[in-house]
Amino acid sequence: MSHSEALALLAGLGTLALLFPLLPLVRTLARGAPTPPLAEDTPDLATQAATFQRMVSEQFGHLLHLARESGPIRGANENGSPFIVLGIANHLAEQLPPGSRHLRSLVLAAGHLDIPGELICDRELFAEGRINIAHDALVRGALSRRDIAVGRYARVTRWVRSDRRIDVAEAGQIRGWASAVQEITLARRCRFEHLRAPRILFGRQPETHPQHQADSVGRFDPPARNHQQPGNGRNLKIPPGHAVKSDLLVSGRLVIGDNCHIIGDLRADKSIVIGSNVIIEGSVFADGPISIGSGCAIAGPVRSSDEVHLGFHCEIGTQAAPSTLMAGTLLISEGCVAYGSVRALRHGEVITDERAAQ
Amino acid sequence: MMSTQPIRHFRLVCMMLFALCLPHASQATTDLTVDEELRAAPTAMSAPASAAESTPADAGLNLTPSRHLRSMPPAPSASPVQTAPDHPVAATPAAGQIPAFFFSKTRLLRSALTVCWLLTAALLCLHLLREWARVMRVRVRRPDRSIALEHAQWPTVAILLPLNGSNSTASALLVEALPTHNFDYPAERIHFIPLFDPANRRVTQAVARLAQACPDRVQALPMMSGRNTTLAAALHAANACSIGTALVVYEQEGLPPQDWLRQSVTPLLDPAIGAVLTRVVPRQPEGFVQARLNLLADHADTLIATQADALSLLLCGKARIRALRRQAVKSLQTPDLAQAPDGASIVQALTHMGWQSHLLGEVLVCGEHALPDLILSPRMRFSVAWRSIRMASILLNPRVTSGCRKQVRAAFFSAALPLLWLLSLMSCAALYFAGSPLLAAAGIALCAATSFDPHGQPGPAFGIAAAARMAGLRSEIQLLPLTCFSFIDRLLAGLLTLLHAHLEPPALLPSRAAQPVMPAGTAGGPQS
Repeated sequence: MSHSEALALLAGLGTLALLFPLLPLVRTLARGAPTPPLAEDTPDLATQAATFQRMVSEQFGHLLHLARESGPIRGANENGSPFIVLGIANHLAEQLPPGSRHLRSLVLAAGHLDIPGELICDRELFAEGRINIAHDALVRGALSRRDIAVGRYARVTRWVRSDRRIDVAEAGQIRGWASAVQEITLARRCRFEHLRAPRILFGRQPETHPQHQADSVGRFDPPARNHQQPGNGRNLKIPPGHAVKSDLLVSGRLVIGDNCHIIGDLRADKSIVIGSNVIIEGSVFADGPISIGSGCAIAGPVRSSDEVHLGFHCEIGTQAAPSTLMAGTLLISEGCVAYGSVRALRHGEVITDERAAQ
Repeated sequence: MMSTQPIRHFRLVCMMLFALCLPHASQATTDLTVDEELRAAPTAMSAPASAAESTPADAGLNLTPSRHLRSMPPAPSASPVQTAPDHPVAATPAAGQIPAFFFSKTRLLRSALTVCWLLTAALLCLHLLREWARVMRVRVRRPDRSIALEHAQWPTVAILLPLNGSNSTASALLVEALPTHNFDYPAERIHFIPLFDPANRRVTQAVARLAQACPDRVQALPMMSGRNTTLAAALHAANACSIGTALVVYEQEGLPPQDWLRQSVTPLLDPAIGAVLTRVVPRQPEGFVQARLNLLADHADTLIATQADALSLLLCGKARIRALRRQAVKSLQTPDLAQAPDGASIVQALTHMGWQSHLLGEVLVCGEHALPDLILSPRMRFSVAWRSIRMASILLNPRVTSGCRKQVRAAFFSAALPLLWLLSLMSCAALYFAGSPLLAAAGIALCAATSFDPHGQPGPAFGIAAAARMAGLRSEIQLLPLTCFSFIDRLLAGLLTLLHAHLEPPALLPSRAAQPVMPAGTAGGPQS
């Protein structure tokens, strides 16, 4: 090796040693202001709702009190943003020019607030009474101390918050964050992303939810063995009608038969298929899709990075111990109930009977 | 002129004797000194008028262009016996045998060191490619941060607070502020384990007040400060006395942010995850730099966060680790009965803190008296590292399941590589003193590229102390960086000399070419 080659080798290795570890830093700095995905945005939406609620109480409290007595007030704040404050007996449609389809004002109402159909609201809405969003309307955010009703094909793009209930009619859409103190009800074909309420109802509810009879005796017959080994070590199938008192962790596919009772957590690196009328007193985690049959009751959180398909009349969590249902794609059949929070990172929909049958 | 010749001979003989007395003395240093003597010779004395003035002793002091740089290692084909007559001192009959023996020994030593360095360098290069490919793949394809669950059956966590720091005021303030701190976690499921020195009265009183404010949620852990009171020992004791299913190590004097506990516990709810290691940069009320650090901490891992600024949070699901150990025992003792899940991917995260190697080290020497659920400190020990290296044979055993093989591979790379790194570094140092500065420089550069941080990741700087800690060595090894600095100094001096010698010959050679440069015993040349 000549001197020049040795020097070149030394310089190359030295440069590699000095610069190579800095590549991730360069990449991070080159990103500039990061644009987090929607999943990172969602907590900010809750913060936005709280900020809006605080702003209304601090800045518009006296205007709402004034509007109750004197009628609607129109104005603009120091930033030039227009606002409309409605009294108890005022309607928003009276304040809009005829044929108007676009509303750029912040709307606050001392009583009920009715949003006309096919109206696009660029700013948030607040009402001390009920908010009715008519069909095909588009609302950025809504805050109410009473109920909020979202009509057919209406859309909420950022957040919606009610101190009582939120009702979403058929094919309505709630993008972003929705929270209610009492209950959220979604009709079929509704789309959603992040719901949080003590009780969340999906689609048409049955008259009576199935009552699960807990089997106190734990019994489990191991699956068929190959060469004295329990399966191939990857997949596991629990036959129908068994009670298992253990955690089930598999690196492949996990299949739970009908009418099983699992006291423990489920975890699969691939997919999980749960039959009908299964009781799971634990959590369900999978990297692949999770398919849950009808009439199941799961006490713990259900989480998948892929897809979760929930059959009819399923229950997630309990009233006393709320839980979380989270997945990239959530397809929930009618009659399901979730206690706690439901979060779809990419797509969430209440599917109909025909689609669920497919 | 004639008076200077005996002095030069005397100095040369003295230098050779000095080289014999010091076996690690550098041949390159000796040769370069001879070169400097020869370079200084034309200026100190007048140029020889003719070839008749050259004495037989001068015959060995040739300065052909090919021999000008004596620091170059000799050609492999040249044997010591052949090169001995060419050496300047070999011409003297008294010292004729000693240099031959010396150079043959040096050459043998150099060859052995070169082979040793090549072997270790090959493994280090393999690690370099493997580790950097993994790190780059992880960082480029970094998945989204796991979203915290809003509602779940949160487990009870025990927060270990090592309060043995020098700042007792900050420790006392932290303990006093904890009862009123709003965690985003059910307060009844947070237990505190303050580790404090009972001799520190202020901290002791603060811990007593904490126990009064949070009754039944404080497990005081008094440990006298000393050499044996380390975080590792405290971890073991806290693990024994905690009642929670997860253990949080909180080694910081400032108050933690409010929204980190639920975020960090969320992955632990996954039954397949046994431990979570996160590093949170504490938030401050104002300051853009801190916000930027937060973003960097999310996207660039621990690249920016330092030990002083960061919050190390180690959540270890004890039950999961126990189950994992049982599974590992089962895999090793009866590998045919090993069934999924093997947990290899889970334990990969533990590897960086040394848990994995310790785990497998215990498994191999699991005695009858050892409790099956015993969890020792994550600090690695030297013996454990050797055990992990010996476990490399499992990698080639086809009867072992793939999961167990993955675990052993992880243990090997976490335990053996620091030792290999140290061996490579020592080989480079020995190669330098044996007369191969270029190989030594390349080896040092390779060691720099494959240095380790305490988490086992390759770092940009010399990580001798970190690697030594990972290899189980203790604080004595911290003196090594001083050696490293002196080594860099010598390396730079050698390079400067090399560059100087590389640039000067075009100007020097023509003048010297006119002088008698013929080797001894040959006829002809410009003078003839």
